Amino acid sequence: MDLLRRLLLATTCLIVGFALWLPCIRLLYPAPTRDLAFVAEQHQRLSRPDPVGLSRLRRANPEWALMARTLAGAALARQILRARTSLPRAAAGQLEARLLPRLDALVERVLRLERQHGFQHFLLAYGRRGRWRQRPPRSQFVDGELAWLIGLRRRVRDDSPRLRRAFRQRVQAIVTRMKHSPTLSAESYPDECWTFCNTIALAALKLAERLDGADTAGLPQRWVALARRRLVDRRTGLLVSSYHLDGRVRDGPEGSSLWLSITMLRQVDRAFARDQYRRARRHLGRTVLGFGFAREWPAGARRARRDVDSGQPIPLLGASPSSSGFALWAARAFDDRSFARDLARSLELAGYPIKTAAGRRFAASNAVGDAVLLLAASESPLEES
Amino acid sequence: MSQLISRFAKGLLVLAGTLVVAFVLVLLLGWREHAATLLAGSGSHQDALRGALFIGAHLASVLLVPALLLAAALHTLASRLFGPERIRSKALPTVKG
Repeated sequence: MDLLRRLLLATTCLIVGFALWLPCIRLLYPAPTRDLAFVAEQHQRLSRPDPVGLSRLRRANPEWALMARTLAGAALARQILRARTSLPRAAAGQLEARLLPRLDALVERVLRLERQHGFQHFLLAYGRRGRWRQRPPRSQFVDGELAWLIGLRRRVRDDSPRLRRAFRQRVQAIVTRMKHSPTLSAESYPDECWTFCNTIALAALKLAERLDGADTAGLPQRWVALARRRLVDRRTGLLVSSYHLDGRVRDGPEGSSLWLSITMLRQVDRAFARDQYRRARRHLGRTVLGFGFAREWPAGARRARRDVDSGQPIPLLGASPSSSGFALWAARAFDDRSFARDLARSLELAGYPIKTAAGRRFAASNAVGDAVLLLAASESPLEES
Repeated sequence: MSQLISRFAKGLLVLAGTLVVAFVLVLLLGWREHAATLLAGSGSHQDALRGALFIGAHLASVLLVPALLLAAALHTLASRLFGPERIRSKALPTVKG
């Protein structure tokens, strides 16, 4: 009886201790409010033509050598554009004078790498082996990201005939291949179409319409109409992440693809994008004790398999670092302030911020993660929430 | 002093201390830098293991240590108020001889 009583007392004390402490943890990790300062610090690390640690990252996944630069370049472009409407003219001009050469260096580096090594330089090894269904072989991953990056550069300042030509050629290639595909999508890998890549390509097409009045054969709207019918998961209504050229689904919804796709689709069909965001929030977004995170797969998803994009999900919670990073960008893009704040708090807890002479960085992040955070910071500021 | 704290609470304090020491150790070893290796799924197995140990030690320190300290304090208090040690201590003579 005495033993039982002691056990009961010990258990009760432990339960009460945890019950008192766990709700307080969030107080130790307030969401960062110094957004612009964070962005300014990240510029130094990210806007190098060869971001820190990229060669090591490329060995793990060659795609990251393109993505890190594209996303960092896009973040720089967005900040210049945002500064024009939010800062006094002189300050915006100073920021542009500082950031534009860095953006140009990133654009030139990716174009040169593609020229020297071919588009397969940025693909995983199986991109060299399989049989491409569309001829000549091209990757929508590379075309879409490069067109989007050059398009954003032109939106900042349309002063280079060479970039204008490069953009138009690439957009033309994208339009031709998407137009003749049964799913209005182009291959990123042999007989593999990715929603991630095709939605970035759609954002590039919208830029082409805006910059050049280009004829994109109505592809952005037609793609969304087709996606509503054939490219959404029946159970969740979320966009699937990859499919064969004929539309057979390969992988269902995945957070590491979906949040970015939804953010891109804002440019194409705002209502569809917002509906997808709400669904993603319901099926992938979670908040526990004030800490937000995003799952890689909806609960109970079949065929869920870990890969180089998903990273290592955290056991029990199913939290995916890459899905959570992209979710932060999406949450800010869709003005979901409470989820953005919860995600930012998690970043402070599990991102392991380090203060160095060069600025503040996150030990748990890499060049791609840093670029996504920079893009997230370029959206509406957290301090308004 | 030893009679002020219950045995169970001492156990909790030792556990909390061990977790803190482990965290400080992995921090000093610079294993924080390997957190990205584990989360991004790139790098060697050894680096991933270091990253996992750092993340585990950090989360244990943040999530468990304060809760263990609270539980230890509560247990000590509860034992002194309601536990057998209080009954025994009441029965002991307070004056020598």
